[in-house]
Amino acid sequence: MIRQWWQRLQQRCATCSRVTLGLGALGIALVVAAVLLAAGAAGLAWTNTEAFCIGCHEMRDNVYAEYKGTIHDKNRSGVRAVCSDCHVPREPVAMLVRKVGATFEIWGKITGVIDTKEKFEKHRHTMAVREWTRMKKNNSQECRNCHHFEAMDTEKQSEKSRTRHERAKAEGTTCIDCHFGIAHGEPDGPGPKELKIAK
Amino acid sequence: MKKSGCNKCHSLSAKKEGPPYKETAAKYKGKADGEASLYKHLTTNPKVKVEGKEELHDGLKTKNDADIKNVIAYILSR
Repeated sequence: MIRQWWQRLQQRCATCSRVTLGLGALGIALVVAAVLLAAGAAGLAWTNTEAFCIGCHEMRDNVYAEYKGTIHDKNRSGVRAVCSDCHVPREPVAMLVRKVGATFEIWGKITGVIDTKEKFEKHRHTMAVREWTRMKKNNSQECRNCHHFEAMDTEKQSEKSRTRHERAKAEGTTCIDCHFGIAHGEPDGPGPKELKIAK
Repeated sequence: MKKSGCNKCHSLSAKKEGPPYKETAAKYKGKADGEASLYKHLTTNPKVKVEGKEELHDGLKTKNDADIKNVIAYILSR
């Protein structure tokens, strides 16, 4: 197919040298690649917006409604963590893997796996375990994008917080082990600490 | 409960520093002094053991009797 296209190009411009044609073709290919890349990046950025995430009622009426008013939504300083800040990795490869994984959720949407409150509650623990597993495997990286152990001024923490954070450091537990259910309703069942996951 | 930070140490059924609400409910539900014991626990900052160390249990921030009883009813209904 490429050979046919190349021959047609040579016939159309009989006076052009192979180098000129080659450079022209390369230029066109680069422009097409740049447009595709820009469109892909814009698409990815769009799927990271809050508006996109709550585009379906399953998210808007359940987890988003629960998130409203929590510390990550409304707080003294006005800094918010939206859906993608916690649930989508920032690292390019990890982000693409997560996005590809998320496309399978479209099947769930089509088949209506969680399209009612009752169905959502029935699947809440399964979905939470999936997300806890992901977060435990990457050492709660999305939490740590904003909350750094090293930057914590333990003097400003309560004695209880200080003790627990020191224990977490010593035992190697990760943020989600303790800080689960802070933005969404808590599922009924074993929590992240009880999950046996190889890091 | 959110305002008092209960969920920092307790959860519905998962393991945290404190016992899950379901475990507490099973312990006190149906007992004559169940509600009174919980009321005392939530309002008097008793000493509790966390990972082998003694610490004071934070009480509820509210002093409103109806709110406190609401919390107790929630826990016992788990």
